Amino acid sequence: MIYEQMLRPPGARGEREFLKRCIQCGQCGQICPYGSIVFEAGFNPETFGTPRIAPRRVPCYLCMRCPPVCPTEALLPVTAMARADMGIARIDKSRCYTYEGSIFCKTCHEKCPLRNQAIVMEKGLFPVITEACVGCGVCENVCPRKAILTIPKARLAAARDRWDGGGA
Amino acid sequence: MAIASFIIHTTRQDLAGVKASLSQRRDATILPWESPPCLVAVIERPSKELERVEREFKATPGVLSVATAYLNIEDELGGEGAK
Amino acid sequence: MGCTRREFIKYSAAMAALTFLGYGCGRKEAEATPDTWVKGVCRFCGTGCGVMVGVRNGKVAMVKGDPNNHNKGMLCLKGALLASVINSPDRLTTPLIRKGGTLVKATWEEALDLTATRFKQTLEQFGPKAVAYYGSGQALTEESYLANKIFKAGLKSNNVDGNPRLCMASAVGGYVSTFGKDEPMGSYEDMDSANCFFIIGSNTSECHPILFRRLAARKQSDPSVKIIVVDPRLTNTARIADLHLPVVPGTDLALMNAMAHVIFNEELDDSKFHGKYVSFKAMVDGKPVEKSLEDYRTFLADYTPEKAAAICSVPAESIVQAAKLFANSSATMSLWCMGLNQRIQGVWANNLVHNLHLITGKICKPGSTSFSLTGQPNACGGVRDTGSLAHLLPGGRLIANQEHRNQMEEIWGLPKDSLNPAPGLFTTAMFAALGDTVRAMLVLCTNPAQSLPNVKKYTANLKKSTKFLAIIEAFADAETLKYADVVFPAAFWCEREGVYGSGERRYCLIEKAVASPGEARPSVNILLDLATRMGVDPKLIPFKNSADIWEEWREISAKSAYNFKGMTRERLRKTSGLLWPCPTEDHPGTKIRYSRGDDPMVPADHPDKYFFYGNPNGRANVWLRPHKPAAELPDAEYPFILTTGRVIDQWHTGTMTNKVPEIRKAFPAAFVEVNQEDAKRLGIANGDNVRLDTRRGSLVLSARVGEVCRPGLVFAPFYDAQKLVNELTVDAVDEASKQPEFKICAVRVSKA
Repeated sequence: MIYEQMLRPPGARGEREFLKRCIQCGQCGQICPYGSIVFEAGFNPETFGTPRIAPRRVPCYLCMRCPPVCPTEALLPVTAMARADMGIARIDKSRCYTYEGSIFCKTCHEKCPLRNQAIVMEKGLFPVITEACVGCGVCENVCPRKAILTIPKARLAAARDRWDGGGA
Repeated sequence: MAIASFIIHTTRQDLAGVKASLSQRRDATILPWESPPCLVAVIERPSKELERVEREFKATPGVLSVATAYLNIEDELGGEGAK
Repeated sequence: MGCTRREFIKYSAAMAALTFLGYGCGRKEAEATPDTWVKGVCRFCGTGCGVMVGVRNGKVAMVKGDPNNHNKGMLCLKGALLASVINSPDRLTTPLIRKGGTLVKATWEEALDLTATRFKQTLEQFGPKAVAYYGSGQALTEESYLANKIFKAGLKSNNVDGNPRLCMASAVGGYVSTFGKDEPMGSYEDMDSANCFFIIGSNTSECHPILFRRLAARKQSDPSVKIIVVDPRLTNTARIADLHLPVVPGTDLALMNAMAHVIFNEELDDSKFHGKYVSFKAMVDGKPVEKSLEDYRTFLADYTPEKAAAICSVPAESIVQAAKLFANSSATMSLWCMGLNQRIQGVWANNLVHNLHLITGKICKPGSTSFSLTGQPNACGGVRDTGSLAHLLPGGRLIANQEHRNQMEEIWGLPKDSLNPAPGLFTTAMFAALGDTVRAMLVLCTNPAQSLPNVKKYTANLKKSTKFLAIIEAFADAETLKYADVVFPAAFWCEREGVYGSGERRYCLIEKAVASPGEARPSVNILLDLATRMGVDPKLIPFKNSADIWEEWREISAKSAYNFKGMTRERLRKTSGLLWPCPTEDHPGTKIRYSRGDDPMVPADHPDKYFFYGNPNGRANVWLRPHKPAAELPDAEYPFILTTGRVIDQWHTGTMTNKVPEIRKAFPAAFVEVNQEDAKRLGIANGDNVRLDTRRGSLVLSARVGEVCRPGLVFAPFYDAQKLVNELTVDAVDEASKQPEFKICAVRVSKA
């Protein structure tokens, strides 16, 4: 379900716990200097008004200003970029210019807030996203080929549940 | 009743087959699109059922993905949707 | 009604979906199939990658790499997105004249007449010293050659300079003082056989991505390949290095002398080579003096690795290791760029790189070469080779040399001793004199109001009412337009035909692929029109188009070491570039200069394998150059060092790259890179606004905190016209090359 798959601001708890705690006060969106945080519209009362990030529009630049202002700790008060834990980015190698092999592009690497940790240039030649990726969506935003997708933590968890359920 | 449109992605090979199977639905108007191989489905159903319709589309053989493009529920606000 | 309304909603629903498909995917697919492909060269850096321009419906639809050129079909992102630049709505389409403070549309007649009249008046009133031409390493070879000839031979003014003065004058000085002739002796192909790369003052990864890819691939294919990077920043280039020396900026002379010290000390020098092909020299009281090997070794004795380590702030062992890697490899290639050139000891630093190659004999052999990288696509071919600088004449000749002047007078059909014998004003001097002794200036294809160092000082002159400034430009938003009195809209890139000469002496023809927008004209025609109206002798400019100019320049080259007489227009049309020397039409071009059997300028029966024919004694010079610090060192008031440079997708002043939505989105505004330790001390967090103050100006930039800069150093890119980093940089120049020291100035850093 699409509602389970939103990219939440940095420090967000697991989706179920996050939704329990989030009181839709909007303070995280107010403090965000980049306008990265938008509030969910729609007709699901559970998710209406909750903060999310749409990386293709404006990604999260990991300034880490929003987690401490959350009054209910729906966002854990983390301040280290490496602990933002929003999700993980994935490169579609069949679309990526560099993997495709005709254009040498490394914009994602250059713009990654955790450059050389979350995205490394393997042997100087190919961008590789590592486990250190926190899913801020900057690479998805700047990719000239739209070859990167940020997978929210919630979707990862949902997928894990499906796999753990014996492949049902 | 709500009105919604979906973009249904498929492959060039499966386009005709998907069109045929979707055209059997009475609640849908189907418009095929060659490049990229897609179909646009306009659906008229109560909003509560739309998710199920989306799942049905997804389950249709040959469909790669389904995306919602438009949703209008104005008429349900008058109480119709509660029925 | 209800039914109609619902039908309408259903129609809207269908349209919403179809619009997305129609605009989202359908259009892209149509664009992706051009009608024809036209060969050319990338418009950006000096790598000079070959491109194929895809034309559809008379417009550039897409750009891909030329598989037959050195880049083998690869391009970096900038090059691949050139279609957005040429199709930009910001293109200039009509001439403009400043009236009452604003630029208004004018006819070609008005603009040409006004400019010619103002130049003629200035010449009559103040003489040839009062007019000037400021060119570009991005102009075509034909344009630079023509402008040079118009001003030096036609108007008798040697005030002909260009932006290569800002980017590679020191490399010219280095090559000329060491080898007697300009331009590298090797080619990009050396990268495939080198076993050790010595990269100093170049962020190849960002600034020459395709060359970086080539050397990274070389390292990947052979793990024994070693890469040494000398750079105060932990750049992406440094990240693939086996040895990174993050030296304090401006200490490279001490470092390289220390490396030479180690090489002799460890007896890793090639005495057979330097005994036969090298003469040692030093400047004494401003004059070059012959020295001996012993003198050189005595001189080097002062540069122990320990002493250099203290100056450079890197471990002495690293210096020893670098020297050993350099000298022990089977083939070593040095690469450098602005880090060495944009220095007040730029020429000296260049000399010292050459020294390392000459004492180890790692030169003029496959994989062994000292190779200067170039920032602009035609600085080498267009400006250096055609001599379009204030002290040069075509083909490596000097204005100050009477013999050289007489040669050119004969070639150009001028009376003997009629060329102006006094070298003209170099870039910063030219702009410093603007409005004062220089009254009329023509600028071609460059954006000095953003790219000059300490730029506020020079824009003050650009504002003066006593000056007249005409510019030939393609884009309406270039910073320099703000100061221009007349603007000529120029045909851009593949809208006209002409030659680009890349960093490896490769000349390549850009063929005309599309028509220029509006009334824009090729710069060659604008220059010819202006010259005719200024009253330049028509015999000097008997040209109709760039092909005519190429024919003349090709013929002239045969009388110099740049000999490329074999590169006819037809041949350039068929090939993806040729490397000079190329004296005859059946000559394949030259990969290694100064080597018998490779270089056609070395006679086949020359007794020695190597012949540095640029110097009278046939030997290359090893210069004794002592260490000297930068012009402005950090102090208590301004404790940090500011260095400037580029980021991967933006190019120079951004007038082109900012036209590309993908790039504008990824690199919107300039930033400042601060070391994490310094940031912690100053209370600066990532993304905070940081104020930079220098003696010349101040600027607020957003911080990018990390480990890239060494402590005490901050870095800012110069592409952003809204944040002119060059308002902060220092305009002290190298005494020999007159190149400014963009790379080092003292700065105060504080949280804004």
